[in-house]
Amino acid sequence: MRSLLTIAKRDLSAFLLSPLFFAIAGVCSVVWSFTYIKKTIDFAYRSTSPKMIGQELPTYFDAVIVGHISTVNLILLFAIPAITMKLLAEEKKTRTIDLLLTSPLTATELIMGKFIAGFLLTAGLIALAFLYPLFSMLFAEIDLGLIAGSFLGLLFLGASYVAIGLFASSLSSSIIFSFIFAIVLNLFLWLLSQGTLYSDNGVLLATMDHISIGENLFAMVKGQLSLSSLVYFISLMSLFLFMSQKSIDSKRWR
Amino acid sequence: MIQVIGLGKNFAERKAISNLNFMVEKGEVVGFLGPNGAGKTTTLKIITGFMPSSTGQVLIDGVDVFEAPLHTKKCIGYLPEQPPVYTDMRVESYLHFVARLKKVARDKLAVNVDYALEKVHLKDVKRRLIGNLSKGYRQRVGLAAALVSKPEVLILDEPTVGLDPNQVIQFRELIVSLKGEHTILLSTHILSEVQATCDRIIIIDQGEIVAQESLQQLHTNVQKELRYKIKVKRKQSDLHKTLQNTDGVNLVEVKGAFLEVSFAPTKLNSEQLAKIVVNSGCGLLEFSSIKNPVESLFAELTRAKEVQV
Repeated sequence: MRSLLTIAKRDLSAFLLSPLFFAIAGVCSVVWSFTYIKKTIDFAYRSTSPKMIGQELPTYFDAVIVGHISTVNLILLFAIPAITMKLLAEEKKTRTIDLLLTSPLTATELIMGKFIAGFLLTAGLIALAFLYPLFSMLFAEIDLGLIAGSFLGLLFLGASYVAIGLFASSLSSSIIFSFIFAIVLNLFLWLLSQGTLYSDNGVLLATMDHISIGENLFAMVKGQLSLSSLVYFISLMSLFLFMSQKSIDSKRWR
Repeated sequence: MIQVIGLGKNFAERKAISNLNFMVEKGEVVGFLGPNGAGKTTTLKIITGFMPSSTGQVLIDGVDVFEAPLHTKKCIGYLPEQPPVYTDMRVESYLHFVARLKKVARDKLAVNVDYALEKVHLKDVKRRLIGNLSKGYRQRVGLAAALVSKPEVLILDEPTVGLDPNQVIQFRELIVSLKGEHTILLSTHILSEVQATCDRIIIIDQGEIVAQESLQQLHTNVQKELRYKIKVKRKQSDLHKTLQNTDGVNLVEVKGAFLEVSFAPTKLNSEQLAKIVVNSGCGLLEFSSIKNPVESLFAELTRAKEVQV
């Protein structure tokens, strides 16, 4: 446990002292600021439009915040691999992995230490994304429960992306490879449900919906804190953390 | 302290090392010699628990490295060829990080870090970023990291590669100062380094041990036979024949412009040999003793292998 925290603390401070994390956070906030303000203005325009008289208006949450979460997810899909790409690949590139693998710690402690560092940074990005809805609460009525559910959903999503990125980073000493491979894996899981758009096979559709990261995220965003979504995210995380651990162990035993 | 029994490692079809057997006693400094690609680093990585062996076992103080890796890794300080330092950390915080990784007790952290800084003379740069330090200083930081847990065993893989001559001398002095406190296995292909620091040598070539001898033994063996290098102005072949027929001369070899003569000091001495050369009228230009026993043994053993291949 002590080694795990030692690893997490080192990686966290290395990130917070380097410009990379702040550059990523900067890009995220620029994109989110632009899209969130645009969505809010669009909502205000539609609400006051004469065409909408007599029609039922969507809530602020459905019209703006759900769209914002979709944008946040899209950005995290690229931003998290940029954080995780260095976690193990750089250790291999600079040979500091020699120190880690000859120290008295297990591959599980190493992987979990890295995961915690990556997750805390991701949680920082997600907290940044939630400043916008929280600020909106000053002038709009928004259900705090829905916000909390969405935040939790994004935390689970972020943790899954971190586990995937960590696995990609464990495969090679190339940081670029880790970055691209993590994005490919994230996109694959995101687009699983899109692949069946033109299918009418009910079983296939239901299966793809169950294993698509997007469907499970929006189940949580819509306030359905379902056990199946939680199990889905925890399983996904565990699978990739397990594979990362095996990947590191295989270096010892190869 | 270190016991290597029947150690072998294959990378796919290629045999990196095979059937290595040796022991390093407590407090001993042993030089692990071999040409590039001989299998030195592979052996050291197996001993440190970085990678497993294909056959055989390694015991550290009687405990198997593969069965109880967490225990044995605590006893070993390892300095790989490229020091495993984080360039974005300051020297002191890096050593704290390594000490925590090596499971040094909390109350001993500061004392151990101080010990390592003191031993490796890094106090002046302890607040500097490792990335801003020179190669020599980084190497020292790597050695300090290997020392910070005060391990019983120190494994150093080519620690002086890339250092300038002054740094090499300082490094050797440092290793000599560590004698007795730690059991040291020092891998190198720089022979003078071994002579300056080690009690015993193990020579490995193409994955096999070709010699294990104490330096004292090596010097005694060498004294049984003296070797001299002679350069003459003319008629080298005549001198070659004369020397071959001289009583007491064991071997005369032509090495480029030089003749290398081996003789038994009981039957002939260097003064007599010099007289023979001068009297031959070949025009003596150079007459010197070859005194490096490790170099001779190393060349002899590793060259013999090359010829066989």
